Amino acid sequence: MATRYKLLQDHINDYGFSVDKLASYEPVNMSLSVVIPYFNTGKIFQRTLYFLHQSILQYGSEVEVIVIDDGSKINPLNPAWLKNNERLILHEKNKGRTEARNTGIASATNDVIFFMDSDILVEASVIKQHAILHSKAKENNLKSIVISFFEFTNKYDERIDFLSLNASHLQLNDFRLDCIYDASWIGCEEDKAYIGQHLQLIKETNNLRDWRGQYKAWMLPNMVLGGAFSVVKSEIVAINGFDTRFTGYGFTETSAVTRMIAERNNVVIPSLKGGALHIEDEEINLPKSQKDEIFKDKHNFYFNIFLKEEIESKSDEDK
Amino acid sequence: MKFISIEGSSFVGKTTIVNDLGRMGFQTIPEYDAFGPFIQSDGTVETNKRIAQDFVYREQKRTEMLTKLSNQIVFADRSPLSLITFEDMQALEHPGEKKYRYETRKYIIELLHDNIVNGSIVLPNSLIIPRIDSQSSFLERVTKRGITPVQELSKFAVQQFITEKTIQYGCRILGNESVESVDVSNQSSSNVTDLIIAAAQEAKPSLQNKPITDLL
Repeated sequence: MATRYKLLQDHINDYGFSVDKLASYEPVNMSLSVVIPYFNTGKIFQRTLYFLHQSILQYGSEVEVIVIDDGSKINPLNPAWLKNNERLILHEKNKGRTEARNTGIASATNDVIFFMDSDILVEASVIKQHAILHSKAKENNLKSIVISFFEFTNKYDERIDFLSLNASHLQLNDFRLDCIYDASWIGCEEDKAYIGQHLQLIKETNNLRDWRGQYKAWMLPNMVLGGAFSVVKSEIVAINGFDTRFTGYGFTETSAVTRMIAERNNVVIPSLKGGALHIEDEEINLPKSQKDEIFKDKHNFYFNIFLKEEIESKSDEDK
Repeated sequence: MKFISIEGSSFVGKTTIVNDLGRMGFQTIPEYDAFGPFIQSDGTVETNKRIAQDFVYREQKRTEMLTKLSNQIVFADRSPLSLITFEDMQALEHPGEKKYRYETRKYIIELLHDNIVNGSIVLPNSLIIPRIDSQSSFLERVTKRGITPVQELSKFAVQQFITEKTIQYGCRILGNESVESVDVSNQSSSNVTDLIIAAAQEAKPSLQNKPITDLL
C-alpha cells in the first residue's frame, strides 16, 4: 500500500524512444475510438467534426466516433452533422463531462480511446500521430497516455472556416510548451515561487522522459489536458473510468490519468507534431474568473485528499 | 474570400454536395430555384429573355447573400455559367431553336456583364466541376431520380457536353488553375464530398479578371 503521491514520485516515465524521430514509422494494428462529450456547443461542433474527419482521412484506417450529447437544451446536437456510421448517445439530463466520457468508454469498442472536447479543431495529422505513439509504446511493452498541444483562440478565428488545417497553420501557445508562470495559476503558497519564471516544461524534461515526481508546480498528470488526449481502453477501464468526485471543471482527466500512471505504470508521451485549435467561447464555457475559483477548490481536493489516498499499486497486485 | 461554385450538368449531385458542405459548417449559397418557381418557357425569344432576367435577378439575390458572409470560404450551388450552358444545351437538343437560343445567350451574357461591372453580381473565383465519366453510373443516378433510363440514354452525351462547356468557359474566364473537375462515377456521397473538398483545396482563387463577354 502507498499513497498515490508516493507512487507518482516513484514513477519512471522514460518511454524509451525519441518522439521527434518517428517520421517514417507506421502504426501497427491500432484501432481507435474517438469519444466526444457535447454540451450546448452549437455550430462550432460542425467544424470540430469536419477537422476530425480530415484527420481520420489522413490516418487512413477506420476510426469509431462516439458523441455523447450530455443533455443539451440550448443547442442540442443535430444528428445530421454526424456521418452515418458515427454514434450519438443522448443523456436526458446534464451529468457533466466526467460521466459523458464514462458513457463513451462503455460504448467504445477499440483498443485506444482518443478523448477530445467539442470545441477542439484538430490538425490533420493528429489522429495518426496518436496511433503512431501508442503503437511505438506497445512495441516497448508500455501502456501510454498520448497528449496533444493547443493554440488557444476565439470563435472569430478565420481558420475555423479553412478547408484544411495542418501544422503550419498553428502557432501553439500551450503553457506546457512555453509559459511565463502566471500569478493566477497559484494552487498553493509554494507555487508563488514560480511567478514570472519562463518555463518550457516539455523541453526541460526531455519530452517528459526525465520527469520525476513533482516538477516546479506540476505533477506529471497535470500535463494531460482534457481537450485532446488518448489512452489505452483496457487501462482506463481498469481504473473504472473518470472519477465522478471530479465532476465539473478542473482535474477530471488529471485524476484519471493519475491513477493510470500511479497504479498502472502508464507513461505520458507528448505528440509534438501538429496539434489543435482550442476555441474558447465564453457564451458557452465558464468565464475565466469562475474557472479559476473552481480550479482552486479542485486543486486543493486533488493534492490534499486524492493524492494522499492509500491504494494498491499494480506491483502490489502482481505480488 | 475563396468563393467556389459547384458547377456542372444535371444528375451529378451538386445540390447534395452543397448540402453536405453546409452540414460540415461551411457557408453555402443555394441554387436558383430556392428563390421561387420559374416562369415557363413558351419558346419565344421574348419569354426566354424574361426567364433570363429572372435568372439574373436570382443571381443578384445570391450575390446579396454572399456580401453578408465574412467567411474564408463560401460554396455556391451553380454559377452564372449555368445560364449560358443552359442555352447551349437547348440549342444542341433543339436545333430548330438554335438561332433564338443564341440570341438569348448573347442577351444573357451582356446582361450579366453589366451586372458584374456595376457590382450587383459577383462571379465565383473558383469552380469545382463534378462529372460522371461512366455511362452506367450516370444511368444509375438517373434511375434513382425516378426517370426512365431509356429516355435518358441520349442525355449522357448531353451531360458530357455541358461538363466540357462548363470547364472550357470556366478556364477561359477564371484561368486553368481555378477550375478543378472531379470524376464522381461510382462514388458514395461521402466519398464525393471528400473528393470535392480535396479539389477545393487544389483550386486557386482566380487572379485574372477576364470579362464574361469573352464567351460571346
